[in-house]
Amino acid sequence: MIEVRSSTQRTRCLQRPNLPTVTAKMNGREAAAILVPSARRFLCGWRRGKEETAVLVALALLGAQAPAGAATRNLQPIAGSFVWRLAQAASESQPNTGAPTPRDDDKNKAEKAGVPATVVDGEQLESVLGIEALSSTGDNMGRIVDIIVDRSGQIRAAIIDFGGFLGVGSRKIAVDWRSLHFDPKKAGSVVVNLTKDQLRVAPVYKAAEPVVMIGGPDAKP
Amino acid sequence: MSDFLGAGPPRRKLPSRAEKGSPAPPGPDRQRTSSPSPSLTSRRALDWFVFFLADVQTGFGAFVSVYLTTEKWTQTDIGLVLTAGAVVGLVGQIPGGAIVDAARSERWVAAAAVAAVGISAFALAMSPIFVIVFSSRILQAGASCVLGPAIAAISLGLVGSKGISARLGRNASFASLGSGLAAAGMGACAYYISDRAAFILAASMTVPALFALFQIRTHEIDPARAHGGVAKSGQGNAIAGLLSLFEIRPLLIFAGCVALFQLANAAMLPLAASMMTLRSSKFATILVATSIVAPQLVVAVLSPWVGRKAELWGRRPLLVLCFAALAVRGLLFAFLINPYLLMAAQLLDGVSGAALAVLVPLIIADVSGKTGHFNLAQGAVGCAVGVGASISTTVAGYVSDRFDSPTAFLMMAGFGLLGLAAVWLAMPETRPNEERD
Repeated sequence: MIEVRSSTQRTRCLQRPNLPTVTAKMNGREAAAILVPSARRFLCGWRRGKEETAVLVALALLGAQAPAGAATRNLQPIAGSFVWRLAQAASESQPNTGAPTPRDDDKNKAEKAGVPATVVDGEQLESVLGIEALSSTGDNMGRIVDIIVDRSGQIRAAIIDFGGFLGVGSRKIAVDWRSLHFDPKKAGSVVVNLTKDQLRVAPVYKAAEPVVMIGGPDAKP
Repeated sequence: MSDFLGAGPPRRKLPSRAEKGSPAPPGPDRQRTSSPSPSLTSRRALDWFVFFLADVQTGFGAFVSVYLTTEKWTQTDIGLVLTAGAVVGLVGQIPGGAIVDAARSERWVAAAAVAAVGISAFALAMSPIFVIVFSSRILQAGASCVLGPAIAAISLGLVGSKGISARLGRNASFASLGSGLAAAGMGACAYYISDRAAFILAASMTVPALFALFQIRTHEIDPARAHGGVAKSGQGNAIAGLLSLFEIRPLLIFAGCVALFQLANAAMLPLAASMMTLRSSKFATILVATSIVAPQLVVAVLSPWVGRKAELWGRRPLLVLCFAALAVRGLLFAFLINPYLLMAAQLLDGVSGAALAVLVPLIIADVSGKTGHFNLAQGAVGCAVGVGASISTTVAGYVSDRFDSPTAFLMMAGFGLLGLAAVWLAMPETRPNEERD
C-alpha cells in the first residue's frame, strides 16, 4: 500500500492551477493509473522549468515502490524507466529545490507519512520513444529511438532513426534537444526544426564516440 | 515464360538425355530416381508453399526492429532479441538438418515448423512484450533451420535427382517473388495503415502456406530420395554423419566458398542502402525499397534459367558467374557516388542471388547423393553461410566506421574475388557423371 499525497507546493511547479489534489490510500495498480498519465505529461512539459524536480522526486519515490513500479512498467515500459532515470539524475544535481527528499534520519517518519506524489492531467505528458519526428514542412523523418543525457541529467539530444525502408538503410542521427518542438495538438509526433537534407548528411550516432548533435537553439530550418 | 508456369520442358527433355547417356551407375537409388512422376497438384502446391513461406519469413527480417521501435522498445532490448535469434539461427542449422534427415515425413516436419513460425509471428504482432518477443524470435529462428533443408528435401523427394535443378530454379523463383511482393506489400501497409498491420499481414501468410503444404501428396515424396539416397538415414547418428560429411572434399570446399560469398555479400545491401539515405535527398526511401524488391524480381526471372543451365553447362560456370557478379557489385559500390547508379548496381545482387539459390541445394545434393545425409549437409553449409554473414556485418561495420564506406566495399569486393579464386582453382564440377556427355 502506498499513500499518495499531493501538496499545493508541488503541484504549483507544473503551473496548472486546476490540477486535482489527491490524498488517498491506493494499491499499486491504482497508483499506476495515475502515474502513467503523469509520466506522459511530464515528458511534454519538461521544458517548462526546473522546479519540476519536485515532481520528478515524487515520481521517483513512487517508482521505487515495488507494486506501483511493476504496474507502471507493464503499462508503459519505456516511459517508466526513463522518468526514473531522469529523476535520479535530477535529484543528484539539485538536492535543495524544496522537494521532500527523505534523509536517512527521518526515513522512518517519511515512510509512516506516506510517499508524496503529484497527479497531472494525462494529456499533458507523453512518452517520446518511438514517436515520429516530422520536419517543419511535415515530412516524416523517422522515429525517436533514444534520448541522450549528459552527466548532470540534462537531456541533450534525441536519437532519430532516419530514413530507410522496412528497417534497411536507416541512419541514427543525434538531433539537439533544443531543435525539437512538441506541438500540444499533435500527440505522437515531434517537429524537428531542421530539414530532411540537414538531417541526412549528419554523421551517424554511435554510443561511446564523440556525438555530433545537429541543430541547436539558433538552428534555422 | 511457359515453362516458368508449367515446369514441363526441363522434365520432358531430361529422360531422353539420360537414356542416351553413359551406363547407369550401380546402386539402389538409380532405380528410384529414374522416373519419378509427381502430379501437377503436388508441384503447384510446392510452388505456392515456397511463395507464401517467403512472405512470412520476410516479415521477420529487418522490419522487426522497426516494429519494436514503434512499440517503444529500447535499442538495447531490440539488439538483444535480434542477436538471440541470430545465434539460434546459426547453431540450429546442423541439428535442423539432422532432424529433417531423421524424420520419416518431411511434410509433417515442415508443417510443424511453419506452424511454429506462424504462431511466433502472430504472438509478436499481438503482444510485443519482452518474454513473448524473445521466445517467438528464438522459435522462428529454430523453425527456419528446419524449413530450409525441408523444402529442398521435399523437392528432391518429389522430382528426384534428374528434375532437381529445374525444380530448385522454380523454388528460388517463387521464393523471391514471395519475398519481393511481401516487402512491397509490407512497405505499403506500414505507410498507409500501421507497422503492426504490416506485421499481421506477413504473419497471416502462414495460413495459405500450410494449406499449400498439405496439397503436396505425401506418397509422392520418396523418403529415400529426400534423404539423399538411403531410406533409413541419420537415425540417432547425426555426429557420425557429420564426421562422414567432413570427408567429402568438394562439400568442404563449397562450404568455404559460400561462407566467403556471405562474408562479402551480407553487409553490402545495408551499407549501400545507408549510402543512398545519405546521398539522396528526396527519393531515398523509394531507392532503398527498389534496391530490396528489384533484385528479388531479377532472381524470380533468372533462377529457372539457372536451373536449366546448371544441367547443360554444369555447376561451375554458374558459380563463377555468381562470384563475378558479387565482386563487380562490390567494386561498383566502392566507386559510384550517384544513388541511382548504386541502385542499378544492386540489381547484380539478383544475378548472384539466383545462382546461389539454385546452386547451394543442387551442389549439396550432387555431393551428398549417396551418403543419406543430404539434409545434414545442408545444415552444415547453412551454418557456414551464417558464420560468413555474421562476420560480414561486424567487419564491414568496423571498417566503414574506422575508415570509410568505399574502403568497406573494396574489402567486401576483395572477399568476393577471393571466393571467385577459390571456385576457379579448387571447386570441382559436381554434376553427376551420366549427365556430362
